Amino acid sequence: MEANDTVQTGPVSPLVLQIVAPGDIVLDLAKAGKVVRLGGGLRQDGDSVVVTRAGRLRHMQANNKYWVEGSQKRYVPNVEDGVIGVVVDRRFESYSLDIGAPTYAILPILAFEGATRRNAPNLQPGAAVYARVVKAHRDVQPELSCMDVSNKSSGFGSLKNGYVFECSTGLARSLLSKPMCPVLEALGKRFSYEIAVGLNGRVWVNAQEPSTIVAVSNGILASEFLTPAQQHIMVAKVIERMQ
Amino acid sequence: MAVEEASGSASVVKDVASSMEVEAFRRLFPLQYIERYLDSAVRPDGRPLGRARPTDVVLGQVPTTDGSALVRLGNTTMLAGVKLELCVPSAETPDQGRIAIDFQMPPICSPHVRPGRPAEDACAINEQLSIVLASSQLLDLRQLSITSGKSAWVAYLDIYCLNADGSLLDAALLASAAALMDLQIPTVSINNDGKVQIVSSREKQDQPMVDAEEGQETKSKFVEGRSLKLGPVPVALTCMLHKKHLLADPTAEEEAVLQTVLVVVLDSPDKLISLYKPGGQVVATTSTVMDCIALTRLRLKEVHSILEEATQTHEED
Amino acid sequence: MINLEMSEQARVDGRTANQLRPTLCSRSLLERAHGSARWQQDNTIIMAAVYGPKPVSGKKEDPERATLEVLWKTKSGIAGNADKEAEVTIRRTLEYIVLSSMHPNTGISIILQVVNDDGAILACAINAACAALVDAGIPLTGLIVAVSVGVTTHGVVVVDPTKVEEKNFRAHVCLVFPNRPKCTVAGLPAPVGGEPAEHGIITCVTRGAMSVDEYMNCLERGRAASVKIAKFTRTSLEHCQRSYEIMS
Repeated sequence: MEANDTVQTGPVSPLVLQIVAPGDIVLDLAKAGKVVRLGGGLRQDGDSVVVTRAGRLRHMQANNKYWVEGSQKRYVPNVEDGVIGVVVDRRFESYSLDIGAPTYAILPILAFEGATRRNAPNLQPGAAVYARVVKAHRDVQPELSCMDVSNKSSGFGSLKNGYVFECSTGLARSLLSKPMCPVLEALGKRFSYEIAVGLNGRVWVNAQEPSTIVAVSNGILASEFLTPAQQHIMVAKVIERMQ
Repeated sequence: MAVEEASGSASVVKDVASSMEVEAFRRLFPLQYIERYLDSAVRPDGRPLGRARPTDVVLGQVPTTDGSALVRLGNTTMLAGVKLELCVPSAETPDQGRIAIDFQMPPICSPHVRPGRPAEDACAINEQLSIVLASSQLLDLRQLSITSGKSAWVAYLDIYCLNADGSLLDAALLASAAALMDLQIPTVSINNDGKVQIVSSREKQDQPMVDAEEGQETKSKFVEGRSLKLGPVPVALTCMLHKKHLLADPTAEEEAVLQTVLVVVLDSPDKLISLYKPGGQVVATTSTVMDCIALTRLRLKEVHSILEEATQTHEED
Repeated sequence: MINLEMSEQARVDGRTANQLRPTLCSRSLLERAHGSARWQQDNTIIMAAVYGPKPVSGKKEDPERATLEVLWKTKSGIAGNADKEAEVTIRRTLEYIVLSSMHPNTGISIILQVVNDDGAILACAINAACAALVDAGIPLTGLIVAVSVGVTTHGVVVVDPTKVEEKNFRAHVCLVFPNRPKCTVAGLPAPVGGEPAEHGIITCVTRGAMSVDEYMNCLERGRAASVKIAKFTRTSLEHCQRSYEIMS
């Protein structure tokens, strides 16, 4: 679609921003306008759009995209997601990464900025990598890349040292929200640390001291079901225990 | 995208169908193969949708048992045998005997069954068979009692599937009922101490019994052998549900393709012993349930007359 | 047909014939499982855990769909034929809602643990399994509702029997219906065979003999009770979703 074309949206589904359950019918495609994009948690059933996962229905006016936002422990690969994977195996042409999806993902050896056969990075099993999902289809293994569309690394690549832990996809999304999540801000005031968050529910934390890494990781995991005020209190307790 | 795929494959199927051999089409597109028959209200083996396969019951096939039956439902073959043993009845039910049912699917019956762990289906049918026989009034366990509180019969009912070609529960239930109809309880003698002994027809002639230790004559009571008085025979009919059609008595091929099963067991036109529908792809409406019950009523009459014929033929032998 | 006033037939725990036991559903209880739920109907408690979609070995792998596996664990831990039958029934029931074609070559395992058995155990297990599947984010075509109905020796139909009632009753039935979805399009979900879609029977397991009329009566009561359970499931789901969003 050209950028200057406005998408004819037709009526927006009345269930947007409400909690939906599998089986709910949210949109009638016959009346919905020319192009409707369906994200995760929705599928097309004949002339209507049906929910397949529980969560809150969201809608983006700009490109008429609907998707269901829920929190799961398991990740379903979506194209253009930034994920953190752990190298499991090295093949001739690619690495196998565990990203918490139903199958391992493939990261081609040459998918790094400026990589050639001679100077490709050599990753050992157990190494953490922050990559972007390039291909995700149900019949094949998802494919990753450590470069963005213009072949620059822009933050992707292997993550040295540090500690990787798992969390739910909902927590990962809130850690990535702007403005910054209260717990990260509160922890950042006291500790200095590096963090990478993958939309697949993996978080990588690195700091000078191991005790800092432990405190930060525990703080993040404990903040999942707390309100912002409660998060500040929890972080204060963590800091107190450290001293 | 899902919609495009579905219509694409349907048109692909139509094109391919016209140029392909029947057997190849049957393997590659089993659902469409069967649907083409169903749309003309007939099945691949030529039966109308609601008719069961030709059924054959022969009693008394295994002389070493106390009662046996061989049932053929189309290609599905079941062999049932009952053996009686003496036992002491339990304290909660002193005037009842026991029945132990074991349904087995040896590897001979189907290429899908391997030796070793019993197939899931075998365990499920075993359980359903026990429940149906317990819920129906076919066998009153008090008939298996000899002396209340002291001795009774335990009936070991074994059903072997010799060929599994669909409708296994129907055939197994029929075989069990027929074996119980064929069952002859042997004559027993009970002496004064309450000890029970099975008497063969030859020994009956040697009277009186001599007690070896005491060297005296002991009087013993004879309980004559008899066949069981059975209640109404429950009849099962397995139906397959398709979006538009209802099939009775499926073959293994139809079962594998259509997936959704509904089993109705009746023992009289108005008494439902069991209705079993384990999920599937298709939902059953009230009218579908009534149609299945109607088909089972017809089958009930059929099976009862088949059993009567079989008993008469057996008595004539 | 015997016409008895419901007040004359007071049940042991004081409920009326159409009253369900207090129901409780907790989700996401287990740390390691990808989805979990605990369904409690008064004293009948079942815990369900879902793992998947995950890779499976050789024979079980299906290139077109995910393979479902159900494991039923009894309280005593000793498995019998009844448990295998329950596994088969539950697996085939769940195959109706799981969109297994979205994850080919994988396996989904559902483990059901009986914590306490006080009647209506199959219905409770199916409800727990459905809640656990939703919690795991497995793609589903819809939700299902399971309810247990009993027939007393006098022919009276009673909803949600306890274990003592099940033993004394002539028969009991476990029925599973689809849950009515929220729908913004008029005319959907389409009625099936002249009845609303949520009246269709997905699964039915009967124990004991009853007349055909009594069975039809059971269906009617079951459908009415399933509406209440469906409403409860939705409320529980919304409550759980809101607790995930507290952070933002």
